Amino acid sequence: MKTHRKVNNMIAGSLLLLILIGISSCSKELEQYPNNQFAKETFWTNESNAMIALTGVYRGNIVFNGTQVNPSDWWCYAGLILFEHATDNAFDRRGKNAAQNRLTNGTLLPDNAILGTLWNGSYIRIAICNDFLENIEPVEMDETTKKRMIAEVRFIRAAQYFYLSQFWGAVPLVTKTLTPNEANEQTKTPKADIVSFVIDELTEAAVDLPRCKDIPGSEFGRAPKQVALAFLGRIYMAEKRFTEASGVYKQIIDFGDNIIDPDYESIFNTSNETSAEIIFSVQYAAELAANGLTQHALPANKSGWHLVNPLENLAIEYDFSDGTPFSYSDPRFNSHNMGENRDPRFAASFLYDGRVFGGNVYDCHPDHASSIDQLTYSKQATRTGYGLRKFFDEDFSGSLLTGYGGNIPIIRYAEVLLSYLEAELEGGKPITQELLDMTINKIRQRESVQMPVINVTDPALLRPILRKERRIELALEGIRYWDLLRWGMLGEVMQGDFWGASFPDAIKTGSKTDPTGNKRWWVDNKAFRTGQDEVWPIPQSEQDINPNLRD
Amino acid sequence: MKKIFNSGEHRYPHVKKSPIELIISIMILMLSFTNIFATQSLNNDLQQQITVTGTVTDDAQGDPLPGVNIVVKGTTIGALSDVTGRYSITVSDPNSVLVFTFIGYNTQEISLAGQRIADVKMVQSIEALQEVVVVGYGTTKKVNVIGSVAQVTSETIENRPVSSVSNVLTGQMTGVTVIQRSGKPGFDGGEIRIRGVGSFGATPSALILIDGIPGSMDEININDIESISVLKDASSAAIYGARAANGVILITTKKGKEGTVVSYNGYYGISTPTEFPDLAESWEYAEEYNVAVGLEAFSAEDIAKYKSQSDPDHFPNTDFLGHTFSRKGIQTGHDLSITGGRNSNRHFLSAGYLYDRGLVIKNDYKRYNFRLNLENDLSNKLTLTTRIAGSWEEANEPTTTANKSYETVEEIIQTALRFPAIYLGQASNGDFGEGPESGGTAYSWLASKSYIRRPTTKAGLNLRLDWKPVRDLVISALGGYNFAIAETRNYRASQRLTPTINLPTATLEQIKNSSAFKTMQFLAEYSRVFKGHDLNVLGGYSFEHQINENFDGKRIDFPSNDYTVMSMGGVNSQLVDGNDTEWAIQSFFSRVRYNYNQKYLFEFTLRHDGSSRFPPDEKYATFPSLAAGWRVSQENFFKEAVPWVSNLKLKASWGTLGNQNIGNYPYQSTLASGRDYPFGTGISTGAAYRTYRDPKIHWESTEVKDLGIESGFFDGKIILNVTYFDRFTRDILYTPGSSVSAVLGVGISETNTGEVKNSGWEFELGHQNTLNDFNYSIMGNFSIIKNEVVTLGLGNVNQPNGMVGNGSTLFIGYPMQMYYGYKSDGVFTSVDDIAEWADQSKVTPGPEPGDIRYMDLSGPEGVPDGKVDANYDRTYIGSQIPKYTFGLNLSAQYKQFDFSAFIQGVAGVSGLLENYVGFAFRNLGTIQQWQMDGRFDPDNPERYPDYPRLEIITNVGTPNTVSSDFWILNASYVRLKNLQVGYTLPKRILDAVRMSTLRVYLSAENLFSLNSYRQGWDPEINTGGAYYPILSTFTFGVNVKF
Repeated sequence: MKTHRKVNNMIAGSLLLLILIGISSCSKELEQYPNNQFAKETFWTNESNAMIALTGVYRGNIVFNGTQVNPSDWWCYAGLILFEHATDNAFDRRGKNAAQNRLTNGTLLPDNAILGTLWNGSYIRIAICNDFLENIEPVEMDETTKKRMIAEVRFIRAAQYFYLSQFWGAVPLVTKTLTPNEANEQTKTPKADIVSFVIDELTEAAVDLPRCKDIPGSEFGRAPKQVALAFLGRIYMAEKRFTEASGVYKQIIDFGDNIIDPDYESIFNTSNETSAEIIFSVQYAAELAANGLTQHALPANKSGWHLVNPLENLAIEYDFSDGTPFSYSDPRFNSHNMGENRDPRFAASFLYDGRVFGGNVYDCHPDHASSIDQLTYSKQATRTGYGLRKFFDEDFSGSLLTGYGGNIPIIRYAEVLLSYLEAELEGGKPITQELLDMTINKIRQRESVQMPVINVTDPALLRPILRKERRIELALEGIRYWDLLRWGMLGEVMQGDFWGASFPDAIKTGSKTDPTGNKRWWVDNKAFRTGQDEVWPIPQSEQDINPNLRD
Repeated sequence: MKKIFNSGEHRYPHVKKSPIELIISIMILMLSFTNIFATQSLNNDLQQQITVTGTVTDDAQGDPLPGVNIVVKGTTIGALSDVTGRYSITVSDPNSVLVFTFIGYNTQEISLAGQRIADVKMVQSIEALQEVVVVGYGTTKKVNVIGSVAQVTSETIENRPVSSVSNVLTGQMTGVTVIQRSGKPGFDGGEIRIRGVGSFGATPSALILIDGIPGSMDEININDIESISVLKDASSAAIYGARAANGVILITTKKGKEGTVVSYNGYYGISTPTEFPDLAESWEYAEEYNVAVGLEAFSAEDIAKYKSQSDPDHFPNTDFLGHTFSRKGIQTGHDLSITGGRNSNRHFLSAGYLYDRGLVIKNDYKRYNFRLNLENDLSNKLTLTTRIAGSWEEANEPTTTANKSYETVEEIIQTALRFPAIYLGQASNGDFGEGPESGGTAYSWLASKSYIRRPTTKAGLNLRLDWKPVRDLVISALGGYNFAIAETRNYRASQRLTPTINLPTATLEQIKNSSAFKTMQFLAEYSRVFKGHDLNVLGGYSFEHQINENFDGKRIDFPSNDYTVMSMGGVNSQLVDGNDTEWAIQSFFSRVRYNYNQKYLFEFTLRHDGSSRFPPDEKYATFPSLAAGWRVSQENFFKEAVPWVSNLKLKASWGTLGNQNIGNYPYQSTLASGRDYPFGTGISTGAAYRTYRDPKIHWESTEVKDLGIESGFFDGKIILNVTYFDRFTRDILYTPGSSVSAVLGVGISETNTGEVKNSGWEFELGHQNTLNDFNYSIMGNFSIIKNEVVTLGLGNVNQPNGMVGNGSTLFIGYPMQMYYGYKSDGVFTSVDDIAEWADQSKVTPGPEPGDIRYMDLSGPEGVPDGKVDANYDRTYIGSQIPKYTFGLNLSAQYKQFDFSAFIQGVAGVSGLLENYVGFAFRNLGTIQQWQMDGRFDPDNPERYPDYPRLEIITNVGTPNTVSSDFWILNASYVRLKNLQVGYTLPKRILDAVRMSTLRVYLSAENLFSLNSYRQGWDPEINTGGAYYPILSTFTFGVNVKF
C-alpha cells in the first residue's frame, strides 16, 4: 500500500513537472518569422542589401521561364513585341478577338485584359520603386553608389509614368507607399502634371547615372545616363517639344559612347546582344530567367506557336536593295524567296515561304496541306504568310519555355539617331546633308545593310522617308504603336482590310479576293474609332473599386 | 405509473424503469441513508429472511453504479443500489434469482445459490453505446448533449468503396455539405463545409482531429474508424476555440475489446465516369469552324475527306478524349483487423490496402495503412493508451513530354477535351501528331516514358496517460508526434514525334516536403454525481507546433529515359530551391458541464488561444460559450399529458469561435525573395516589396447562436429534430485583392475586414420499425443555409447600380461565391432586333445577330437609360453555395438480407462551365455536341438558343463570354449516391466453419442523378477543362469475422 502511494506520488510529481516544463517551454515557438523573405526592419542596413533591392526594382513584374500573352510589364517580350499586334506591323494569330488586336480594331473596352495587366504592371513597379526610395536614404554606404541607385530607381519609376501618360493620359500619380484605403481613394492627376513629373524625374536621374562607357560588362542591363535621356527625348517628342528633344538626343550623340553596329541581325540575338548600339534592353538568361518568345513565336516546324505574324503592310515597306520601292510587278519580286533583292533587314526580320531557318525549310505555301506551317485560317501557324525571324538565334535547340536567354531591346542608338533627325525636322531646323549622314544614312549605311544614302533635305519630302525608315529599322520592336499615336495616324492606318503575303501561284486563296490582283492572303479588317480609341479607358476592375477613376 | 411501498421494500409492477422513476428512486434511496427508513427494523415481521448484499459496478470502467434496480425474480420485492453501488435486499429463498436492471445496461440475472454476497458487474448495452456521443476531449450521453453534434458510426460508413473519408459523409448529416469536384485516384476528397461558408477570407475548413490530433480525411483507413462526430455549434466546438469557427470533425479510431475478433473486409469495384462529354467528329468540327469564322477555312473537299476517313493520316478523326479515358477504373481494398485483449490490456491492430486505378493509363493510387491501438491498465489508477498509425501511399499520373511545361492528368484531359478531332493522334506508320500547340497530344504523352510519381509516407504516434489519483478525478497527459514525407517526382521524357520533330530536353523535377507535427496536451477532468447533480469540470492545456521543410531540384537533358534519377541529368542548368515554414499554437481551455436529474442541462466553455500567426499584441484571444437544455420529456406533467412523446428536448447555445486558417507569416513586413534579374552574364539576387501586410492583424471570430428541439415519438419509432442556427463572422481574415485598387501596386496579405452571416435550419426526420423478421429505417435530413455578406469593410464601394461592394465578387446583402454579371434576354435575332434594343456597344461593340442580348437594368437616373454598360447593368446572377442540401437514408433487413439506399442532393445552387468546356473554339479548342445542337443558327434565328453565334474565342474571351446569366446553370441535383444489397450467411452454416459473420454485398456508388446540367457534365463539376470525372462505381464486397 505504501509503495503504491509512493508510485502514485511519483507519477503525480513527474506529471506536474512535465506539465510545467511543457507549458513554459512553448512560448518561444509562438514568435515566428519567415525565413525565405527579408524582414523589412533589418533589411535596409548595407550596400549589398540595397543592391538586392535594386535588382528587385529591375525585375519589376517580369515573368521568366514561360509564355505570356497579356504583358505583366512594359519591359518583357509581351509588352514590347506582342504590342506590334495592335499596329499595322503584325497580326496576332489568334484572330480578331485577341486582346492586342482589339486595342485598335474598334472594339476596345475597359475590360480588355491588356489594359489590366499593363496598368497593374506599371503600378507594381512604381510601388517597388517608392519603397526603395523611401528606405535607401539611411543606409550606410558609398554615397556615389547610393546616388546612382536612387537615379536608376527614379528613372525606372519615371519610365512607368511615361507609358501611363502616353496611353491613358490622366492617371493617379503615386510617389509614396500607399495603404489599401489610400489606394482606393486615388484621383486622376492631369496628364500635363504626369508629363512634367516624368520630365523632372528623368532630368534629375540622368545627372547621377553613369554613361554607357562607364558601365562594366558585369553590370550590363543597368540603366545608363543615355537611357534616361532617351526617354526624356521620347516624352519631348510626344509633347512636340522638339527643341528640347533635339537637345537631349544631341547630348547622347555627343557622348559618343554608342555605335551603329555593323551587323543588324546579330544585335537581336544572343550572339551580339551587348553591342554598344543597345542602350537599354530587357535581360533574359537561359534556364534561369528565360525568354518565352521562342515558344510563342517560333514557327510550328520548330514546335513554336507562331503567335507573331508580320503583315504585308510592313513587308512591302522594305525597298529593293538598290533603294527603289518594292513592287509586285517588279521582276525582282520572287514569291518563293521574298528576301531576294531586298533591303537586307527584311531577311533579318521575317520568315517567308521557302526560307531556310535553323536547318528547316519554312514552308507556308497555302497549297501545301502536309506542311505544318501551311498558311490557313485554322492551323497553329502563320495567318499572313510571314513569320518572325528577328530576336531568334538560328542555332537554338533548347526548351522553348526555359531554354532561351536572348535579350529584347528597349532603346537602341538607331532610335536615338532617327528621333534626333525627326526632332530637328519637326522643330523646323534646317536639314543638312551632314545631319542626314550622321543619322538616317548612318543607319542605312550600316555594314550589313548598305542601303543607298538619303539626300532629301526638303522637310515635307523627308518626313515620309524618315517615318518609313523608322518603321523598317525598328520593326517589331514594340515602338510602332506609340509612333502612330504621337503622329496622330492610328485612325488613318488602322482601318479596312489587312493582307498577308502574295502567293501568285497558289490554288488556295484567302477568303477575300485581293482587289489589287496580287493574290494576297486576306487577314482581317479593322475599324479604329478615331477620337475615342487613342486614349485607353481605365481598366473596368479599377473603375469598379474606385469611383474616382470612372469617367 | 403506480409506486407501491411495502415494509421498506420497493415493489414494482414492471422491472423496466424510466429515467424519471430512477431519479426519484435514487433520491429516496439517499433519504434512506439518513435513517428515516430503518430497513432492518422493518424486516422483523417476515420469517426466514436472508439479507443479501453486494456492490454493483460498471464492467468497463469499474465505477460503482448507483440506482440500479434489483428485483427478486418472480416477486415484487426490490431494492436500489446506493451512491457507492452497494445494495441490500432481503430474500425468503436462499436460491432466489436476483434481476439487476439499469438503463443503458444489459439486464443481468444472478442465482444466489445460498450466497449472501453478490457483487455484480453490469455490462453496457449495445444500444446504450450508440447513445454515447464523442465530443471535444471526451464523450457524453446523447441525451445530455445540448449543442449540435452529428455523429455517424462505423456501420454507416463501412463498405463504401471510397478512398477519402470525406466522401462517405456526403449527405449523411444536416448542415454538413460535401462537394466532390474530382474523381482522380487519391485526390478525390470532397470539400466539406459545415453550416455554410463562414468566411470569404481565411479558409472556411473544419478542424479535423483524429483521436485528438489534427489530421486529414485522406490518410485514414475507413475501416479503422469507430465514429465521426461533427461539432457544429459554438457550445460543442468552443473547446477547440481558435480553430473551431467552421466546425470540428472528430474521428475516433477503434479500440481493443476483450475477446479476440478477427475481421476481414474486401471489395472489388469497377468505375466509369458519371457523365461523358460528347465532342465533335473531325468533319463536324470543320463544318462548324467554317460557320464560326464566316469563311471557308476548310474546303468542301477537305470536309469530305474527313468524313470518308479515306486518308486518316492527313484527314484524321481522332477521339482524343476516348483515347485518354481508355479504360475503366478499378477500386479495390482489403482490410484485416484484430481486436482483442484481456482485462487490463486491450488491442486493436489493423492493416489495410487500397488500390484505385484511374481511367487514364499510368494513373493510379495505392495506399497501405497500419494501425495499432493499445490500452494498458498499468495499475488500477493508471491507463496508458498508445496509438501508432502509419501509411504509405503512392499516386501516379501521366504528364507531358520534354519541351512542354509540366502538366497533370487533369491538364492532359483538358487538352484531350480541347484539341479538335482534325489533329492527328498517331499515324499509321507510328509517328505521333504534333497537335495544334506543337509538342504532341495526349497520344504521344501517354505513350511516352514521362511520369509523375508522388510517394508519401506518414507515421504518427499518439500516447495518452490517464491517471485517477482520487475518485472522480482523471488527469491525462497526451503527446503526439506525426511526420510526413511527401515527394513529387516528375519526369518529362524526351520523345521523337516524327522523323523531323524531336523533343529533346528531358526534365526531371524532384520535390520533397517533410513535415513534423508535435503536440502535447494536459487535461484534468473531475466528474461527480450527487443527489441528482451531475457535474463535470474539465481543464486543459494544449500546445501544437509544426515545421515544414521543402526542398526541390531540377535537371534537364537526360540522355536516356530509362535512367531518371538526378545524377543522370545534364550538368548544365541545374536548379535547387528550398524553404522552411513553421507555426505554433498554444491554448488553455476549460469546460463545466452540469445537469440536474438529466433534466436541466448546462454547459460553459472557455478557451484562450495564442497563435504564432498573429503579432505580439494580438496573439491571444479568448473564446467563451454557453449552452442550456431542458429535457421536457423528463417532467412528470409532460409524461402524463403526452405519453406518446418519448423524448422532447429544448436546447440553446451561444458562443464565439476563432479562425486562423491563413498563411504562416501574415503580419511580418518583408521583401519577397526570388525577384532575381540578370545583369551582365550572371543572375543577381533580387528582393522586392511585393505584399502589403497589416501589422495589426488579429483573429477572425464567429459568433454562433443555436436553438434546437429534439423529439421522439412512440418509443423512438419516429424522431424529429429541428435546429435553427445563426453564425456571424466578424474581422474576417480576408486577402482583399479584388477589393483594393491595383494602384496599391502590391499584393495584399490577410487583413481583418468584413462580416458574413450564415443562418439556417436543419431538419432530421426518422422512422424505424420492426415487423416480425423485417426491420427498416428511414432517416431524412434537410438543411437550409442562407449566406450573406454583411459588410466588406475595405471595398464597400457604392456601385452605380445601387449595390455596395467591390464591384466584382462581394456585395453587401448577397452570398459569397456569387456570380456577378449581366442579365440576358436571349440573343439578337436580326439586325433590326439590334437596332431596337438598348445600345450595348459598351459591352459588345458592333453586335451581330446571334450575339447575347444583354438587358438594360438601370442607368444614371436609376432607371434604364437605353445603354448597357458595366457600371449600371451588372447584377447578382447566382450563388455557388447550395441553399438546400438533403439526404435520405433507407435501410432494411429481412432475415439474412439487408438493403440500403442513400439518396442525396443539393438545390438552390448555380454552376458554370467555362473556357474549354463552356465555349466552343476557345483557344484552338473543339466544339461539343450540345454546342452544335444548341448554337444560334443564322438561317433559322431563334430568340433563346442554348449557345450564341459561333465565333473563334481567344483565352481572354469575347463580348459573348463575359459573365452573364446566359451561362449560369442550375447545378441542383438529386443523386442516388449509394445502393447496397447484402446477404449474411445463416449462423448454422457459419458455426460449422467457425466464423461469426460472413456477409457478401453488392454496392453501387453514384449510380444515377437527376439534374438539368449540361449534356456530358456532372453537376458537381465547375470547370474550365482541367478536371477529372466523378465516378460511378459498382462493387462486390465481403465482410468476414472470426
